[in-house]
Amino acid sequence: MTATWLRGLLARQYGRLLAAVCGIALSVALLASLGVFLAASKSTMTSRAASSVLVDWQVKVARDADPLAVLDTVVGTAGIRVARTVRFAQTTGLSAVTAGSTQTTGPGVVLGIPANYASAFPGEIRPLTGAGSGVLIAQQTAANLHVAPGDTITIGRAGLPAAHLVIQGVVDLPQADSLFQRVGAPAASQPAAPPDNVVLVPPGTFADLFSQLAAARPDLVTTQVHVGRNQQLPPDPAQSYISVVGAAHNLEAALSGAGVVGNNLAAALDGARKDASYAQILFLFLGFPGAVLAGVLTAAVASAGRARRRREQALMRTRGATLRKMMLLSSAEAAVLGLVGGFLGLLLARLVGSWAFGTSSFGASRGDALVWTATALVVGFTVAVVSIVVPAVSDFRQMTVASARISVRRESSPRWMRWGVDLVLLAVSGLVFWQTSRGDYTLVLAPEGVAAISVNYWAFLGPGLLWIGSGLLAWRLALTFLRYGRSPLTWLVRPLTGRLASTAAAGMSRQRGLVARSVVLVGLALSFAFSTAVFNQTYRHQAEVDARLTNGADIAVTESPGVVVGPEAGSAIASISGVRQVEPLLHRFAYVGADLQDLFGVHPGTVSRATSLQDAYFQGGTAAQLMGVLAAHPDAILVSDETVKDFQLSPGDLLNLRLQDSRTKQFTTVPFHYAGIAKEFPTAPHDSFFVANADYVAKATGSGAVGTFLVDTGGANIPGVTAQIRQALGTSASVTNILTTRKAVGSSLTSVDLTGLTRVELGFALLLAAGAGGLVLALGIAERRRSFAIVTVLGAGRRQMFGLVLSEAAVVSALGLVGGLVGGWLLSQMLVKVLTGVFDPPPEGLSTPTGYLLWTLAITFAAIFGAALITGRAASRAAVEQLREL
Amino acid sequence: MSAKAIDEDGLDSALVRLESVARTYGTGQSAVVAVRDATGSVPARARLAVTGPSGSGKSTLLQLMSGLDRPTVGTVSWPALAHRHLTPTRSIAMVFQGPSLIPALNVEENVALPLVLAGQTDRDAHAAARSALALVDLTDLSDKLPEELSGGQSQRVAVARVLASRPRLILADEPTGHLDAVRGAHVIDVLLAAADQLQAALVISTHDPAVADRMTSRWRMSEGSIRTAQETVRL
Repeated sequence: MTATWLRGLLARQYGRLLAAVCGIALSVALLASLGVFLAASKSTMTSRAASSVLVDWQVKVARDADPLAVLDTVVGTAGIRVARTVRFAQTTGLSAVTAGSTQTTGPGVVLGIPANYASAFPGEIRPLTGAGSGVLIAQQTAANLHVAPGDTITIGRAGLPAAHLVIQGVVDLPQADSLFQRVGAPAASQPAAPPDNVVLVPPGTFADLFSQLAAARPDLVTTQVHVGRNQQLPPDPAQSYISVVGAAHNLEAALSGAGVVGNNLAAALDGARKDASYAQILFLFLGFPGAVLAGVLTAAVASAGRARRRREQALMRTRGATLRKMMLLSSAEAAVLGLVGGFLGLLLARLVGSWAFGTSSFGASRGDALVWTATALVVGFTVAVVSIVVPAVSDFRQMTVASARISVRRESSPRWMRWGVDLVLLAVSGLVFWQTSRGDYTLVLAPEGVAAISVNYWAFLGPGLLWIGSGLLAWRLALTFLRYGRSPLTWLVRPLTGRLASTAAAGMSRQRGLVARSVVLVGLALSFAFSTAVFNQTYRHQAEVDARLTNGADIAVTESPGVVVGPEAGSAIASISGVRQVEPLLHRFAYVGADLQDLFGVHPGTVSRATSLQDAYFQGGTAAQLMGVLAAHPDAILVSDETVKDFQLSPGDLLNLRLQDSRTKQFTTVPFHYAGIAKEFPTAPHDSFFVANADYVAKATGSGAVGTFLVDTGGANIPGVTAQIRQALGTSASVTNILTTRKAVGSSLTSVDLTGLTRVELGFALLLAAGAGGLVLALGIAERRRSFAIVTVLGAGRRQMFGLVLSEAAVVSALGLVGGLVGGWLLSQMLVKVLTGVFDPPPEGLSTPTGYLLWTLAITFAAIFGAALITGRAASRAAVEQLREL
Repeated sequence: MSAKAIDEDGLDSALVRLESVARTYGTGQSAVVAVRDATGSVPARARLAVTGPSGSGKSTLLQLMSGLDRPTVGTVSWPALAHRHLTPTRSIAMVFQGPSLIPALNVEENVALPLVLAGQTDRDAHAAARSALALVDLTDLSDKLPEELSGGQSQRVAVARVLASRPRLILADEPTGHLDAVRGAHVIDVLLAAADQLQAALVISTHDPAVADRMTSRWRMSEGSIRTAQETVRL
């Protein structure tokens, strides 16, 4: 009998079954696609973090230990690709005589680097000029000493006579921070900056120079074993972190105190695992509502056939069908739909994954993949069971045969509406939102060095409840409007229905449950599309702002330390073709009390020509207002929020800073007046800094030396202009552009490339919106084809029939649009606020992708009206067939 | 009144005329001939019963007469109602065996619907609907939804809807099929009274002899054909 029942369904109700299968496939595909996204992004984060580290471990050899024995132990450890011994010696200072003048530096470091180091750790030492091996000098040191390959430098040695070496090449040390780290020391006691003065020599030269020193002052000469690993890392950064930390501990245990591991790889993975948590949260916030919506849509599709199912059930009951039999039949139907929909969904997800994320794996590991596949399939089955079996059983238990035959009954308010569940949910959502977003709210907390990550999942309740609450409220409002607003409804549909307006309005009012359901689904789908699109656009916009903030402008020319260039040097850069504007930015260090902070000097009237200043960067006025204050009052200064709190500042307060006078090299007190707060500023660090008037700073310090030239190219040919500037300036300045910075800031969360997720989500949102509108309306109309057949028999012309159908489509579209836009706007506001941690800097406002939204609306309405026209035509054509059932 | 007799008497005053009409559903081996070679006409103010067992083609014949369905072969025309071969939907009304009221409209709106579709204003249509409901003694039910009516009441509302549109030909397809004898008889009373009042012809398909006996003429159908030559019933 079950087989007969299924065959009958396939033969007679293939349209509804197909729609339900599509809905289930959509839910499963969305969930599984998000699994693919997570897998892809986690694995990207791990590989990006791992590849960003050139020397995975720096094993510091204990003072009394034998470096060779340590090297042997390291090499004998599993998962080691390469290991090289590097020696470090402190020098008292470097000097050089060039063009008749002697340049001298402060203390520095001399490294003993083996010849094959560069090939073992490619990128760690980047040759700039001269030879790539032999005696090499760091670029900044070369600039300080004014030396080039072929010049001789003098190396000071504590307690020993100075040594002389001929420079063979100038190099850059891109990862100087980790190279010169204090291995084994906590983060707080790490040096603030790598040494300015660095010379690299071959091991033989190093031994000649420092053997005596090592014997006399072992504290000044140390040895490290630099390690490159080749162990396959788990794709999940959190697991990789645990694995790498464990391996390092294992090595330390094997060394028995002979060495301490500086774990650069773990440090990089530590950041990545935090990003991975954010990625997971993004999935929850952005993807889960879509999967739920697809499930609700499927349930709606299935319930669109409920009236028919009730009649069939009534017929079967009169023939003696029991509850068990009914359950068996509906379960068989649900199982087939769940299975087919589930597998189609997984197939779709694989295709989507390959297209959007470049992978079709459902999880970062095999276990993850299994969990995701199983979860997606279980969701598919659950949707099928909830949509088909539950209503069938509930109808069987609650309804009589006679009542099951009735298709329209006087509708009373649903129980949730009488209890005000929607209002309660919205109130709780507001409360949770207020609670989570006040004070020092952190969504993800990943304490450095601690394996556990804490995520504030409580914060999810705000948007989650808002989504459900606003959906239910939209339902309440739609029901109320359809029930009591018959006059405006009649007015609304009159252009389409003419004299049939009041009849159409009466019909919709009495079947308001059906109409309201379509309205809510369209509203929820549009709100999902709206909030997702706005969030993604805002995210992308802020990633761009972040890159611009970090680099300062399209191109930033940062003068090397020791190189003094005045603002007039900007004209040389401005003459390069492709450069539109050049803006000098002064950079000094200033003491406020005992704190040393960066100070940026700007020309308030022109600074925004080369860089963008957002109002969100400042507090106490807009960007333009505060620049106006700096122009009008040259001694005005913008300070960080922290400084305001620490020094209890009020607007207008005197703030004495100590700045170095270029003439006397002494720190002198310069008076400023506090004018506002700068939270962010182009090229400025994340922590505290000052922004002041450049002319005032130059006058007070006796120097107009520029730290950075911000160069605007109008976004055109950035790489070409960068190359030209590099060529013109040589090694006297470092030239960076926004394109490389964009990739560099990509090591943080922006590395979770949302492009794929955006594509998938926006695609699904579009499908859901079109599906919610078209499919539900079409099935609703199809369910009432008997009524349309009667109307045809009673003499309705084609135009009148279409008028009736289109009027319902118009009401669903209009109410759904209002609900979707209001709900989407609220949700976007809350999402951006709750996910503040994702944005750096926080957005000034929401960015709205108007084009996408207009397309979504157009396609949704096209689906609604297309479905209305097709089903309307089918309903009037099938009148004679329907007549046979009358 | 037989098919032939109607031919002879009807002339141009016939409300509907069937000439060698056949209706086949489907094609090929699965084709089903519902009506074959049916010829006859219905004059003004006729009281005609179309009888025959289930599946004999009664409903199809009525649908062809109403213009809702088209014959596969032959011609259906309404000489006294409209231009030849054009369906005079406004002058013909039909009562069905099963529930034929729109579930989402109340009784008065259901009755007014054909008039609104025909272009009358809401006010006029509802006034006519109330009058029609009064004639079938259902004024009290005007606010009720179809789900709140009994089977007999639903059929009387369907008759009121016919009355309101003032047709010249009423076709009733097994109007008592779902009703018990008492309620069925009441519905026939109402239909006959309505036809009398409108001076309309009434064609009822039925397999209930008691209903057929209340008509003045009868077509007996078997396997899609009109078998009876002439059978006039005296009331």
